[in-house]
Amino acid sequence: MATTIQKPSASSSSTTTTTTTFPASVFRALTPAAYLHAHLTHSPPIRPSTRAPSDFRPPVLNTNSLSHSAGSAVVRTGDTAVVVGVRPEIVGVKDIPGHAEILKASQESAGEAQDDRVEKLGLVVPNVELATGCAGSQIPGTAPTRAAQRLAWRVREGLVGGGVVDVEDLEIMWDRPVIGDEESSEEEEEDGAMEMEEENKKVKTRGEVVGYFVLYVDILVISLAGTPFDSIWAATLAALRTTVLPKAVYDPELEMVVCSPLKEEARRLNVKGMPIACTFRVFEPSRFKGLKDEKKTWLLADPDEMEEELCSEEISAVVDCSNAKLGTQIRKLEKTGGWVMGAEEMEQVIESSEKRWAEWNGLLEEL
Amino acid sequence: MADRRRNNGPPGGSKPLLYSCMIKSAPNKPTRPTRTRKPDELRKIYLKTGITPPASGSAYLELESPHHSPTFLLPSSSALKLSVAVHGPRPLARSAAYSPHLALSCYVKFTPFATRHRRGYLRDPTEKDLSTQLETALRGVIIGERYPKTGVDVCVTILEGEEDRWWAEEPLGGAASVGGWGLFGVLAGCVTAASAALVDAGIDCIDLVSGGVAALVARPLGNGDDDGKRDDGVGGEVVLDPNPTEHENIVAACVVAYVASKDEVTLLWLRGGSSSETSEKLMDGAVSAALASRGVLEEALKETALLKFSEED
Repeated sequence: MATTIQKPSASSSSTTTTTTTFPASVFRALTPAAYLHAHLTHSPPIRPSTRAPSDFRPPVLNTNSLSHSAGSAVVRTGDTAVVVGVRPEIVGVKDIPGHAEILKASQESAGEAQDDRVEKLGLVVPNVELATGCAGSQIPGTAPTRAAQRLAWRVREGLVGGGVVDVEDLEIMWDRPVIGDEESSEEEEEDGAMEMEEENKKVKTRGEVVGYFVLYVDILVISLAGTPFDSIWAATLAALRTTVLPKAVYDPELEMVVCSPLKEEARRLNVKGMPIACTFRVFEPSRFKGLKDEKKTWLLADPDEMEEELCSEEISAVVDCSNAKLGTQIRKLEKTGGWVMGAEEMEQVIESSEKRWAEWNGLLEEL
Repeated sequence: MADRRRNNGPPGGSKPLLYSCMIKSAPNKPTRPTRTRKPDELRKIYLKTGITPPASGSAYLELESPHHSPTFLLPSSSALKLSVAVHGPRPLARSAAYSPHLALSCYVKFTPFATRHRRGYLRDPTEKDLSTQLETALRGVIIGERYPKTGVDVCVTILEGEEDRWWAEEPLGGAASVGGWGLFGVLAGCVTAASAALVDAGIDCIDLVSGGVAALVARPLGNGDDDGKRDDGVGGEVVLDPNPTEHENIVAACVVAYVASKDEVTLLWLRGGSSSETSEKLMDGAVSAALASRGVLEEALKETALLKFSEED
């Protein structure tokens, strides 16, 4: 094989160094940095995956294919595939230590600050599972790796800190009848509620929070070939947007929340905004042996596995252009591992992210 | 004990949803689905290889989705969906003892949303048992002597499992117990998909191995003489590829991993069924179910081969 001069295949047709007697795949395995550099110095610059540096991989989205989830989505971008299932459970107010104080605090600060009950009570619980054999380094039977923990944390931050889910949407209300003495024996443990009860004695019934839906967002990476966060985030958003919560009624006799199994009584979860994550990496050839003289750097959108290994500087932006009045909102900006990116490149990142946002929005809007 | 490596729910814990139809007196009870297939007819199988490109071999298996009721939020039953990734052959760790054969390790894991009852993140005994059974089934076909000092990992992720029984009849809607009849179907699916993934990974095997399930279903009383041939004297009927939600009382079930060219069974798991006569019938049924799923397996692998060889040209 190595002795014959192979015709460069479609993906490597742009390599300028065709004098080699090795097929492109050997070249790629031996000197990945030079291989990537050779592609990028071609005019117009092209990546080994035949994408242009600013091109993202086209996304494929499927929703609601899992029976036992209230909402689910499968996202595939290139060779990266992610499955997300959202599952609601119920937590009763009695099981939340110090709930009365938390509720009071959030009611007092209503209108001034964002209601932080979703975060304080832990009502949205995302977890990322990488140990599915999705890549050679991810073998099951081990505790979540640092990468998995970091991804889960980033999703949590985005969902909870970003206010994607409103606590009002997760509340389970009950119109408690107020009949004077009778109820006082029932709720000795709810001191906070008692105080407020006194203020409202004239009213026959009063809306009261009896519990919350807890959304368990389980994210499974089925295939990992670079940039998992973008796919994870989009799949999570899609799953949440398709989530249907049943009508939940508190049954005072059973002292439990009972849900209606009827579809017509169920409601869609309200997801605020349309934040989309876009990840870029910077290729800096001067870091590699043999390419020290190269001063130029390249910004690569949606890097694949090989590019991720070669580029240490990563920038991840979460943008939301859904509000036409405000224009492009930057929900989050993370940059790690290098010194190349400046203000100018940052603008390029945001511009590129806007385009990607429109692409995702087209898929997610219809859900 | 909170798991510090994962995001945990509320500290006080949360409970699964309780639907009104699970309470005895409530109206709006859904009805049990009934089997519309013939006793020897399998559910449609969708099998595709190469869904995890970073792995050396992979496969995805899905069973025909049941018809979901338009009025109920809850699914009437589930459809098996699983993905298999094979990693290897690769060198064993330096610290590992010398092994003259291939060291095969199987990991079967249900996702938290695979069943009606939310599963945990850690492997439970059921999953460990399934892993061991799958390993036994695959060991019988892999030519281990060709891979000394080598390891292969077979990772199965069950995205959606089979159900153990009709859920609406239980107070907790299927939450209480694990390890019921549904596991038979899951194991058969694992064997078939894992065999496809092994071939996709190019690991030497003597033949394909496919899984099949048969169950002995007790007839409802007074309905025993419409099909005399299948009546085996104990008032039961052998059905292939049973969906446990569709049958009120499964008496016994059997799963086999069958190697057709050698007419060998690499795995047999039988539960229930007292007489040797019924057991034999069950095994025959399971073997014919395995033969049927082998047809799907062969077709899927032909497609894979066509794709692979056209790539190399």
